[in-house]
Amino acid sequence: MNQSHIRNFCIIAHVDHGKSTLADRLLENTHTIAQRDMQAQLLDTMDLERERGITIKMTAVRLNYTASDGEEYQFNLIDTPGHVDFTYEVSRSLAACEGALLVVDAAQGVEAQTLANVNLAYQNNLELIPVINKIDLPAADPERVREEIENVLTLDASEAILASAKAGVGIAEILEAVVHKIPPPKGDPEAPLRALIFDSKFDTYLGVVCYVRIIDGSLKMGQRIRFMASGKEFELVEVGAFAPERRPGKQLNTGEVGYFSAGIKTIGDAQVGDTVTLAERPAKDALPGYRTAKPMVFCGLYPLDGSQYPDLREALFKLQLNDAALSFEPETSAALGFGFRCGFLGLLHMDVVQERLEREFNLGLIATSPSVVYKVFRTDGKIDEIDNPAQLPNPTYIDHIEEPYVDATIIMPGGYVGTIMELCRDRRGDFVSMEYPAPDRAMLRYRLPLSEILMDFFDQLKSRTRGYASFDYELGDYRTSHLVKIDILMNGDIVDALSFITHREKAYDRGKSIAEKLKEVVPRQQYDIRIQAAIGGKVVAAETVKAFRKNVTAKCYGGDISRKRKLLEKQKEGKKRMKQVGSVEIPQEAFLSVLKLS
Amino acid sequence: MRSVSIYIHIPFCERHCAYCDFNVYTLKEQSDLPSRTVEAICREISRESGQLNEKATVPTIFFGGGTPTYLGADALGQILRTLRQHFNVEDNAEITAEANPGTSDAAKFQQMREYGFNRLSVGVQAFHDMLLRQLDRTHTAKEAEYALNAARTAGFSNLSLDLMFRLPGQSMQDWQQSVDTAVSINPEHISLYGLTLEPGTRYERLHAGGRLQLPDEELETAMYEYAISTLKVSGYHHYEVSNFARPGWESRHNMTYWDNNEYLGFGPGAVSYLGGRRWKAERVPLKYIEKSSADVNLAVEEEILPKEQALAESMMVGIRKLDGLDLERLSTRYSVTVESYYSDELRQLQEDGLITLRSGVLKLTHRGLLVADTVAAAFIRLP
Repeated sequence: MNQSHIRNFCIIAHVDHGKSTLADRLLENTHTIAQRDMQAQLLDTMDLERERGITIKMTAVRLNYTASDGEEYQFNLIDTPGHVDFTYEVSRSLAACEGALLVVDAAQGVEAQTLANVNLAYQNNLELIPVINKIDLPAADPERVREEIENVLTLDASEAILASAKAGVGIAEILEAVVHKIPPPKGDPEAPLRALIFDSKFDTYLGVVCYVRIIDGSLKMGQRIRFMASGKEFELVEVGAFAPERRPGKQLNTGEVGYFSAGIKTIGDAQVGDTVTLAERPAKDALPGYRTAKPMVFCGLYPLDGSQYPDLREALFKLQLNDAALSFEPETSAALGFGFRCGFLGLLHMDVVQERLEREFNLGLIATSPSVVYKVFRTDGKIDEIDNPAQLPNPTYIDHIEEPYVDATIIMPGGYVGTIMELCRDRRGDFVSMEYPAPDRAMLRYRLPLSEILMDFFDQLKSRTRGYASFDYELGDYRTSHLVKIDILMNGDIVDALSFITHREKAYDRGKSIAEKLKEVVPRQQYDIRIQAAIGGKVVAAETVKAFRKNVTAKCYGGDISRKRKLLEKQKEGKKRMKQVGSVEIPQEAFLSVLKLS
Repeated sequence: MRSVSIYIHIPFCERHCAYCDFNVYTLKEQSDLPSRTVEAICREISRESGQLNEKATVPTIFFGGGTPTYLGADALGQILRTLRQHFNVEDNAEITAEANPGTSDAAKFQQMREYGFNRLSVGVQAFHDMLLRQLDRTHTAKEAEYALNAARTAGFSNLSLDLMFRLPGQSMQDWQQSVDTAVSINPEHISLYGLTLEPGTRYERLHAGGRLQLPDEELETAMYEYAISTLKVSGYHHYEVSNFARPGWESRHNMTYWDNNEYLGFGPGAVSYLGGRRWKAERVPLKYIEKSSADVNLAVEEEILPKEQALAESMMVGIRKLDGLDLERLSTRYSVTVESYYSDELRQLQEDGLITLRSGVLKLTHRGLLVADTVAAAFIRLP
């Protein structure tokens, strides 16, 4: 395809603003897919994504569009993950485009996620086409939303397209706007190949499939390619595009988007953001913006049933094939046995991985409290980076500790400003700014410790604003905080799996609430059980589970014997799943409910 | 000769008590279900005895329910007669019927005595009208005393009565009064049952809904301990967790269960344990009757117990005998050295102060008695 007839673009939208429906309409209207084959929201291929209504793994689809000028255009629609955990992946997808459709819900207006993604789009110099979607909703107020787009996003919205993807309104206009407003790819066809990897997935038959945008040069069958960051070389096996299913071809030219496979075994060899060039005629400079995936959030994952440990390891390896951002290494807990310390891009990533392990691999898991990466400045001048409370050195060796902060943006109806400011203060946030971009819309910026939003921040935000607030953040810098490690003790023995790091001022409350929760869920045993929360040697909260006094069934006659035995067997079965901490047996449910709490 | 105890289940009651999860039905008046059930029971007695390859000796017979005295004395007598026809009922066999004060009178007791019943177990539950009403019992405290007197007059020299503690609204004083009254009546045998909330009962539903206030564990324990010491000084032998008797008047039938010996059960829902096999009969009376007359197998639940499981059950029920469980005898019975088979469990339980083990006899300590289920659980091994 002639380079001038290629348009590479993506869709930027807040969750539920209609990105997937719009994508479906574009596919239909360009006859990329027949309406009868349409399965709602085709681009999101993972079950999990469809259930949660979010895109985790993106896809790129090629659409052939005959414009009103009679010319035929090649559209490449690149889907982007819609979550802050995947900001880096989003930025690479955006880097593969020249433009983006900015979809804003006509009733809800601009949300925090939209803002974050628009900022990323600006950084990548994308041409933005504002689309005000869902104009058929009774609550739609396109004029207000137009104003918001201009105020919040500093974007000219006078020509914003009014659309309803659901009803098929405005789709033709959108397609024309893609042709006329989004510039064709630049790039030098004669230069040595430079292709940007913006996604990769593992396919059982093909090995790693890389999604690429050809920036310069071209990629042909039979060529030997080189990854510029890793330096690894491979023989090209297949090259082509998705429309929407895989269509192998002969080559990909400058400006085009497509995929290739090259017998690559692990996804770690084909990292998102890396530049592919030719082994025989390599480019001089790699494309900018590459970095390796760096886990931000860590937790321990343990099988409920200790015998599933090898299965868990196997499952993690399999997931890692398709998810370079997932890290894991073996870890042992006195309370939970053998497991893995796993690193994730963020909370959603963590949830998704856990859910896939449980669903796709049929594993029962216990996850310990998520932790961020702390920088521990030791008195001897050394700096430790720790992601596990257990690694925290003795307080006497610690000079100070730094924790990661995020720059958060919260957009909400004006009436909720008070309660949200209170929430942010409670979460140790530093106020940065407040704006009113539109009537009855407020935008708050706060600097918040990442660890504080790992808790139930998002849930709180939603419940305090009845779902009207949106929230997004960018990672910020590290700052010094007065942090302490809290240990939970049962009859004097530390339950390692329940230790956590928190701010000094919160230590008492959190210690107390965990001790109280444990008192509720730990069944009474033959002896009293002392539950304590302690900082170093200092107990900050204590509870006691009283021993049971009486445990004997009154009647036990002929007909009861089987029933009685089965009852005891069942209890014993439950006991097998208990975890022993010192002399105390703790049921897994207790861990689960306490870990949920924290 | 084979020795088998016999249990007869009469699954009818005038009213279904709020705490009871036994296989029990309340009927409209003039239903012919009771008489047809009696027929079916007799038919089953005849059939089952025919399947034994020798005529078994029967040391004890127990009519339970439900309410056996819901039936007339003749019906009870008919079952007893059938049993005598098909089994070698020992001359001095212990033949018990449970009786509810509300469904018995002197004349009925007299007849029962004549038919051969020699022991009555009277379901008093409490000598306290308010508590009795709450339990849905049909009788008053006075009527209970009257029934016990009537049984004496009718010639029953072996009487037992049941009392319940941990009842909703029951105070320590209420309980003491019931125990003291029981002692003053001077029965040969007393059973004390702490209320347990069984799934499917009205009490369990009320409790789950937070609408049933029960004495707490401290009070429940105090009630149990009060009864134990009171009955002891009154000359009763505490021979099983819930059972007390004048020396020599221990229930031989119930000892069958705690010794894990063989028994045959007849009647809807009755359980039998014979030759390492345990089975339960069809529960619903009408189906029991239909299946019996159609000559269809009545067993609805059945298990064949491997040796290890049978041993575990023997331990589980045997520790309830406060005179101790003779491990030597169990070793012979199951041809395994029980003390080494359970060496870890026995050592741990001794360390915890829950049992003593002297010359091969295992006994619960007082603390062990209070947590006898925990002790029993130690001997259960998962398959």
